[in-house]
Amino acid sequence: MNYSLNEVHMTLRKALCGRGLAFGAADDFGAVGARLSSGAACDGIAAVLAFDNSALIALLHRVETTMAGGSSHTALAAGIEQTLAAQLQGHPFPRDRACAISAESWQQALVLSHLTYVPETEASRLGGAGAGTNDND
Amino acid sequence: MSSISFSDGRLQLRSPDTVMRLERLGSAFPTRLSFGRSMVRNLIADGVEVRRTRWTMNDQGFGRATYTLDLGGHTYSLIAFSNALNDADRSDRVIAEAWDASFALFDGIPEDSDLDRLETNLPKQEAGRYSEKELVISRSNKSVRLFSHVASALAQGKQPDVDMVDSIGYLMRTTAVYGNGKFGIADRFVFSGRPGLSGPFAAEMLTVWLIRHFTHDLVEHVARALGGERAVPLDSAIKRHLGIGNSTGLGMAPFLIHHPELIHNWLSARETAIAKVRAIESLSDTQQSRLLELLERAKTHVSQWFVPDEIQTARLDVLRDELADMPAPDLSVDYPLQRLIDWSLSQSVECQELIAALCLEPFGEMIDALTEAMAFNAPKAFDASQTVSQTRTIIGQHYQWCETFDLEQHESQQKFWYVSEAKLEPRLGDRYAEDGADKEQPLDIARQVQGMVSTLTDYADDTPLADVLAQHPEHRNIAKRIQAAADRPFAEVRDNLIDQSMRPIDLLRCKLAFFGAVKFDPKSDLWTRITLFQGAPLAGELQTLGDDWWLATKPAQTAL
Repeated sequence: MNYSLNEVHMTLRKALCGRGLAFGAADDFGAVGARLSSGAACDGIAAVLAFDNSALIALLHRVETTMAGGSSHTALAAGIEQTLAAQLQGHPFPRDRACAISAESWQQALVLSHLTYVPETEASRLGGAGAGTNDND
Repeated sequence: MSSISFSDGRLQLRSPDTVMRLERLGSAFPTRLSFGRSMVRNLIADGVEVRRTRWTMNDQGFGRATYTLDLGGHTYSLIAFSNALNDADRSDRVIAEAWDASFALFDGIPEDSDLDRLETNLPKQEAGRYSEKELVISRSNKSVRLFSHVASALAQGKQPDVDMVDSIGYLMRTTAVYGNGKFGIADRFVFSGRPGLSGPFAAEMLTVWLIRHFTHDLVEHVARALGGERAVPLDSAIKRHLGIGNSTGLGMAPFLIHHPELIHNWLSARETAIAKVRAIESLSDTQQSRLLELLERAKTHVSQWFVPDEIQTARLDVLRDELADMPAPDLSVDYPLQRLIDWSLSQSVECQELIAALCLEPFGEMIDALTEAMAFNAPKAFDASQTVSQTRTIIGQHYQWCETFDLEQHESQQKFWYVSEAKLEPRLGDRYAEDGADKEQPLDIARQVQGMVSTLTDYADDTPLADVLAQHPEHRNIAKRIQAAADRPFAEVRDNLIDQSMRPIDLLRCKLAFFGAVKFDPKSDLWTRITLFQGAPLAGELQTLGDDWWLATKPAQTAL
């Protein structure tokens, strides 16, 4: 199975939100997961989910203060730290399908994503767009 | 009306405080910068010819078809599957699980094996799995009433009733058009650098234009099966007036809010275009005649726009009266478009937006190049070394509008945006009456800004944002938006998106107008039907008819 980079980004973002990470940080790390996953490089979803939410926030702070201090990327650890720095600075990267994401980490992301969805109820269904209409016109 | 100078010191753009209000966004009209128009111009410029490369349909019109074209040095194909569908299963909602037809825009020429693979996936849409060869996927439902009428009329050797064609406007309506990597299809970057597909939603627009072509072929096929030698083809003027419908619900609204840079690009291009034509000192006789001809067309189009929705009907009644009472514009004076636009300021917002769109129409050479700046650019890098003081300054310049909302009021935060577990359908809930607000989507921009402002009072002016956000990661989303908005004044919808009175339909109309939609037909505050490509050239007419189809009007009735 391979994945588009946008679905990696969006799925990981939702997974991180489901795990309780605030949206803004979840979006950054969703993008980091997509960068890490580009081509056959790595399972970017597993790489990001290996850090708990506090560690991810700490990682953002460390990388951003390092960059603000004018240090080069080499002051950061290879892998997720340097990838996060590249993401935050908007550096381009070679983009290709994500081929190294394991079925387990994808499933883990889906399970966490599910925590962001509101359970179906009759009231919810009736409040949705198109409720109660006949579309055979 | 206040205005700002922006991007070009000589141009006076309308103020974002005016442009970015929901009422005005919800009164938008398509313009020549709309994406459907850009796509047709691309097809014309490239001399595109559409070839029907497969057509395997039974007498009921169920089967498979493919169409192929060359655009910008690449070959693309529309793959279509048409299926039998029980009336009980025909729903335009995201939660539907079956449709009359399903489609893919394919990168290249598909083999039979590609069609076999897709025939087991496309009819399932979101439940299927796709490859990088699929650039866009979509599905559609018939307008059963019009499809049956047109097929029956043609089968009897007659043309359909143009009043019915005009009142419905399409044989099928799409209920979703998915792009950018959804369910495994190609990421947008795969084709965004290709000529003809670089604009926003360009691949989606090409797909929809081809689906319209398919629906015309399908109804003629069914008519031939019904009527045999007696059947006649659709009159080309009626066929041209048959666009493609679309049902749009809440999903579009989060997209608009989650892409502030993109929305700025769209609105900035349109507002720059309006400012450019406002600044025209004088018009030639030809330009004057053209504008007057377009004004009459707009009046006719509006006179043929009827919907059941009471609110939209009342607005259209006012608009029709305003246009009927409009003094004949004297376009021979200096700054004639400025005068025309200024006249509209004393009319309804619908009228103001219609007149602005009208004024753009004759000036393609001056403004069409603005569409090149409407595509998405990578988000600006986030600078966490920015200080609290600098952030406060940007908020003061671009987010004053947030302070106008009293969020202590119950009604001011009554609504919440969420995603249902039922096929991930986006919905809007009542915070005080329904569960789920703990899973709220972050579309509450004004509330987030107020929260950020409050938090910043606890920090010294020279504190870097990185330190604030390490302690308050909940503000990271709004901090990024605030920074991005510093040089993008049209990035934010300047209204409270969780207010009890907020109408999502306004957000939908804004986005759909940028697609090129006409005949907005609201079904509630939450969803609307529209028509795309009504009046657009047919595949064989691109070179002869050109790009002159803004606000199409009903064709004359041919023999019934």
